[in-house]
Amino acid sequence: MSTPLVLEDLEVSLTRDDGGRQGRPLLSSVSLSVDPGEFVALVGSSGSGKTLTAMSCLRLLPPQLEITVGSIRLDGLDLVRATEPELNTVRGGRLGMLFQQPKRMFNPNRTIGHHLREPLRLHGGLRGPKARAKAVELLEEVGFSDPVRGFRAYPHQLSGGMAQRAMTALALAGQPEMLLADEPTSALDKVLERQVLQLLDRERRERGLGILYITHNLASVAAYADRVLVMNAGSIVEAGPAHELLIRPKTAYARDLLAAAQLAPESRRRPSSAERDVLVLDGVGKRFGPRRKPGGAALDDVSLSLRHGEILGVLGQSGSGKSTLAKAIVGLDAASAGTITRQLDGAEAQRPTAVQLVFQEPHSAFDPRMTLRASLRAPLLPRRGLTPAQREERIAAALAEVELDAGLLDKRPGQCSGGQLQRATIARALLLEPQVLICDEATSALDALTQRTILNLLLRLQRERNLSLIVISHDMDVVRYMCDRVAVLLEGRVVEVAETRDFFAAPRHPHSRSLVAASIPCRADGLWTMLDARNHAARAGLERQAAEG
Amino acid sequence: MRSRSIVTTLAAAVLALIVLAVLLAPWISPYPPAQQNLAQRLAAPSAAHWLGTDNLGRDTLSRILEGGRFSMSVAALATVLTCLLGVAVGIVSARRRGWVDEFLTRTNDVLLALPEMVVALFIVAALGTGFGPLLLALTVTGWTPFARLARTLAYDISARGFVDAARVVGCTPSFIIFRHVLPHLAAPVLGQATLRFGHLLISVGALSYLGLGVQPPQSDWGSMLAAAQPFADRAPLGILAPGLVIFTVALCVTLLGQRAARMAAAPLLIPAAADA
Repeated sequence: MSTPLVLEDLEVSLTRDDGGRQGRPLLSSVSLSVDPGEFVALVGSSGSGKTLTAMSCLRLLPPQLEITVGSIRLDGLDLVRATEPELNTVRGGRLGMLFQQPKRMFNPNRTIGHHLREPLRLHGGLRGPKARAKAVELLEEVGFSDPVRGFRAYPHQLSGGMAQRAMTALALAGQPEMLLADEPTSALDKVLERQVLQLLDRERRERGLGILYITHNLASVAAYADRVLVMNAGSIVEAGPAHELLIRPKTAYARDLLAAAQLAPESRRRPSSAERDVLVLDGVGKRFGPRRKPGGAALDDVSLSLRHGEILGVLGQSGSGKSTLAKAIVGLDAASAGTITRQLDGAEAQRPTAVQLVFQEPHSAFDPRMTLRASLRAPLLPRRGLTPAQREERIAAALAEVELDAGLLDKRPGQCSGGQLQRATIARALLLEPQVLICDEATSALDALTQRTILNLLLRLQRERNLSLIVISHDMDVVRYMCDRVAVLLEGRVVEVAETRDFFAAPRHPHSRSLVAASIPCRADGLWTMLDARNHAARAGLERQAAEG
Repeated sequence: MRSRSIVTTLAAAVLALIVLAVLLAPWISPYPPAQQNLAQRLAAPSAAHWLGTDNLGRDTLSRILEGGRFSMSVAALATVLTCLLGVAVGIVSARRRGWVDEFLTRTNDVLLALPEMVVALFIVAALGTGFGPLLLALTVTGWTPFARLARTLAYDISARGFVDAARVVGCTPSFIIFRHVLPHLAAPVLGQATLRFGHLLISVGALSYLGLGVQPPQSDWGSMLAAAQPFADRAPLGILAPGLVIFTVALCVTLLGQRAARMAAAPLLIPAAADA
């Protein structure tokens, strides 16, 4: 019944005359195949063309791009030459897609149930109560504790993890034979990530679903993938069985990628000796809307202090109030209770900009219409007594500090990579000579290679400028790598504060324990043991089959 | 792409031709627009009168050329004024929020609930006819769609990451409005404005048709329609000609506006990096 998805010699190019970039292929000679029941991972740093490959399979390319050479076959149907009506029977039906940012893929005006009904009607012929029952069943299957409520919910009422599970239900609703999963878990914390991947893996085992899993998370590749394809600059540079490729990569690029996935497991930092606090939070609370039910506070009685020259990690799952906390500290969204006291000194201390924020999504932190030069000039404009030449000088200095090329200044965000933009965000913050830098999931949207370079950049800046850092993250590896102390946030409350080493050695709160425990199988340094375990299990399975046969 | 730019070029050419002809009317029109020739009443098109004459024997072509000046300038000015007023109100609504937003939005709703034409009639009837009152009437009734559009978009833009980023690095509210919010509004507002121009051109025509525009013997396109109506069976061109001119101008402006809006949106269409 199921058939493989086969891409042969695919080339995608810019076709419209867009200022000299005409004809440059973005993908060239990409050949790959996914068999039914196979879990194939496609890895590579951002900008390598992974998403483009998936979008080509669905023929959902932006209008400027065109498939110029090659074929994409699914059961004899050439998707490159298929007509729109033919494609519509395939999209969301036999060929499902799981997107990177689930919340953006839902229509905010429609309930989850409404979204689910459509594929059920189009591809399953189900209507009315039958479709509803099936939708609820799907939601239950993907792990909604209250599927009926999930069915009635609007996208904004779901957390990121819930939305990704709803998206998974949506992708599975069309009974796909093949699933393209484009970084389905990069916005999720480890616990949810594992749930989503296990769900996909179960579908693979039970129904023979073929999965093309696009990711930059190599630990999850090690845990689930049968085969791995490594992509760089629009071509597949290496392919092979997961256990072989991950242990003995042949190309230099794959080796770099693997090396980057392994952050040094323990913190190399010694806790700051300074006892002076620079930031004191006392009983900070935040509620949205006056009529919110009790217990609906985004932040509740958060008391924390940040010492001078320290890196404090704030750990929490999606929806735990991490970003609300960051916004309250920088003054974007004032807290509704408690006090936040700054105890800074120096020339810039009195300015509100002495505490700066590095955003989660570098692409949205810049106005898409402005060149980077204009965006970087903006923070300096309110400063009187700076000549234009001095401004340019300071911008150049900040760029040099984050190791960015000055040629980038005349580009717009759309022309830059995530890593470049994240450096630019940091440069923009540095222009204001901040004393405290808050990094709100600053690297979670980046691939492993870029992530490591950004983290090291932050560590270097912290040393050189003696900054105090708050690193907000759901990623245990990042926190362990960067931080002196860790605070754990659960449903808006701080449930544990401890030195990093003590925290990972002996977490006290039950929630902390589950976080630490969940991080182990996916942690990069556990990659090899996990691989072994998997091979072992596979071998045991084969032996059992042999014994039965 | 190619075919669309031919349409755009054509629209630009036709519009330029009409505007030029209207501007040069005193020099190029074949007859003084108010010159009556009762012997030539309701004449069919001829070499002497290309578009025939009206019931008083006045040359239709000359009157169209003269009338365009009034019709188009009122419509254009009203478009600019409603656009400025509406965008200002919309941005204030979206940025101030709270009771200011509530008040402005409800005012907007009330105005939307009243039939535009009736309010305009009321104002013109109260203040008298002519250029000024007509402009005022059209502005008062016409700003609401701009305010709605601007408010919705400004709300949306204010929630984007880069506005937060600008606030964190200490950008002033005026910088955020002028450098972040307004440029993002430009394309949709421009599109809206061109649609509204066509609408206003027709409104000017309608108000003049009802006798609230210019006073005779001066002409404008709407009052020409009104004057020619009783004789439509004998001299259909008297109605067709000004009607078609209104139609053509409105169409050309809309086509050009769509093109301009597309160009204003262009920086956003640069393909993002393949992997976001």
